[in-house]
Amino acid sequence: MRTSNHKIACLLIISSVVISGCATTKQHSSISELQPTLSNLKIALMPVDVRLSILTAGGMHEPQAEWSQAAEKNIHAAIKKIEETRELEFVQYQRPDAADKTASTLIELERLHGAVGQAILFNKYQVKLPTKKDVFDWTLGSTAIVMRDATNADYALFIHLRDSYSSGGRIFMQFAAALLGVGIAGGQQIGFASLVDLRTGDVVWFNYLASSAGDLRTYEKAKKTVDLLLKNLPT
Amino acid sequence: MSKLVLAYALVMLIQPINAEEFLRVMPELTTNYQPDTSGTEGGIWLIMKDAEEALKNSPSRINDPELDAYLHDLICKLTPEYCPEIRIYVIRRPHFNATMAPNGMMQIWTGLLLRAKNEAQLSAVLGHEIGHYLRRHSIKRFDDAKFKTSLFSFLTVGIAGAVATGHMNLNAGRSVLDISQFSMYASIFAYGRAHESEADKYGIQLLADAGMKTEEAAKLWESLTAEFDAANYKKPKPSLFFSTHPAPKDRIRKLNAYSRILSSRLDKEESLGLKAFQERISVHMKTMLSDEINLRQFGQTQYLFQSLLADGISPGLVNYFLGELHRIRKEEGDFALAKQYYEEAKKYEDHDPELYRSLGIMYLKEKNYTLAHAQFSDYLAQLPEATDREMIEYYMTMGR
Repeated sequence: MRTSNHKIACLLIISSVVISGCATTKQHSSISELQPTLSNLKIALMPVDVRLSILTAGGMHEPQAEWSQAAEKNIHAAIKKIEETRELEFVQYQRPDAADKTASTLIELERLHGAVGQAILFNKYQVKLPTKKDVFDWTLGSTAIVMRDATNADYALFIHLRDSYSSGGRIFMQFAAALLGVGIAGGQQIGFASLVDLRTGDVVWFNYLASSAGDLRTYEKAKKTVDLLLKNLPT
Repeated sequence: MSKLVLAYALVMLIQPINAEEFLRVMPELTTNYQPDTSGTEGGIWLIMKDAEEALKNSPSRINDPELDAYLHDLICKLTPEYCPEIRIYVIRRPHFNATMAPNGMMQIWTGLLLRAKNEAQLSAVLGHEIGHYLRRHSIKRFDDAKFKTSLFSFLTVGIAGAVATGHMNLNAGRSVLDISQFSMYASIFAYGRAHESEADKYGIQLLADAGMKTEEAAKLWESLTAEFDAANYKKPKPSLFFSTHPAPKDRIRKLNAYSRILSSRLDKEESLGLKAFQERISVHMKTMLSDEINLRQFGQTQYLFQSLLADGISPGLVNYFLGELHRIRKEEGDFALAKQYYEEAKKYEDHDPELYRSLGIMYLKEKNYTLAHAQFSDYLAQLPEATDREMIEYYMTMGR
């Protein structure tokens, strides 16, 4: 009993130090290439929804403003790099003025995708509903055409990332628990990239990312995450 | 265990308030405060910023610039120094509630606007929320919860270690952890309750500073308590350990004690601000009363509506909705009462044309066709653009 506990403890300690954590992605694509009707192919890049937090010893998430802002900058820089290397052109989406007639519709569409994205994340990739196993019918509906008219782009790309980093106290706890043969989870990175065809509102491409490593606070590491997230994005 | 409960209860009940002095609560924020973006507070403000964007455009929000301006003026009366940085949002929810986010974003629910009887009562709540903001309660609660949960986690590891190395019996270890977890949550909630008490105190302090009638603060809670007592279903007993707010009777007792110390300096009538308050919310009365009916908690709603009637608030609308209440509830005697209230509502200028339809339907049920048809013609005459015209015209063919 004691020997096997000892073995497990050693394994956990070593693994927590050596293994940098694995990242998995799962993808759905209902199109192999973009089929724009407008003359120049542009994808509206929606405001990136990224939040970085500290994972405390007690399991609470403490959001960090500076980290989140740095991550947003890094993600944008990484996307710019991707634009240069692949046949993609992004146009930054600007949130409408309150005075705009279509303002409330546009705001609602953006928020609707927040809900749809979460639903896909949860029901298709985390909980894996049996009725959604071979089905991918999520859509923003035909109202999405309003966004297409506002942006002059046939497609919109939404990026959502939540990343947590263990606090010092939590790392100590993970180590102490490992000594006792118990594994305690550290910070996780969960997110998705979602491509919506604004003519129909359908989500035509979706990439789910889950990782126990990765650091969005530095450009080099953030680029790795973004490359993974936008891997095989149709052009 | 029961001895513990008894001891706790005794300690909670016997809390003297010094009759001679009232130690002022001071703000802990500078004006136009912006937190350090690298800390906890910065992160929480970031989340609140997103939440505020969502709130601004929420379909639950009542976007009435005049009402917002009026409420903002009240806030400025209470705290001229900090009011420029406080934002107010009226949310359409038929429950008594108001919230304050750590970044100065305040929500008022329509249920509160309906239940406050005057400006002083409304300001007592506004002041309470301002107290939460100026004393940084949300941030302190977050830090407190963070500290306590972390402590508990370390304790868990420590106990696990003690058990694993044979220094502690497993069952003993489990008991320690159970009690510790219970205590941790009880402590977290108690800390929150202490904040609520402090906010009550800050609120009444601001009321007094603004020259408003301080005794109204406790009165608001008294009428709310009476409304809850009128509920027609059994409400669960509030938890001694895990309530988020102190018990209403404790709040009433403390607020009354504070009020005795800080009595109003203004002329009593003026500081109640009835006229301005009623004018500002009258345009929303129909929505608010209809939302209350939709809750289907007739005991409380009946008490509330009777209380509005007694105060002479929007008599046409209140009588109509009392009619609706009895018509929908369908208990013994309700049928007659509904008709009575509808007929009464007609006497007032602010009655709603829909009452004729409801009354007509009731007369139809009684097979009193002449009276029914009279109501329906009145309905269509008063509401020519009625979307159910065809159905009403069909009703008018019945009994011929």
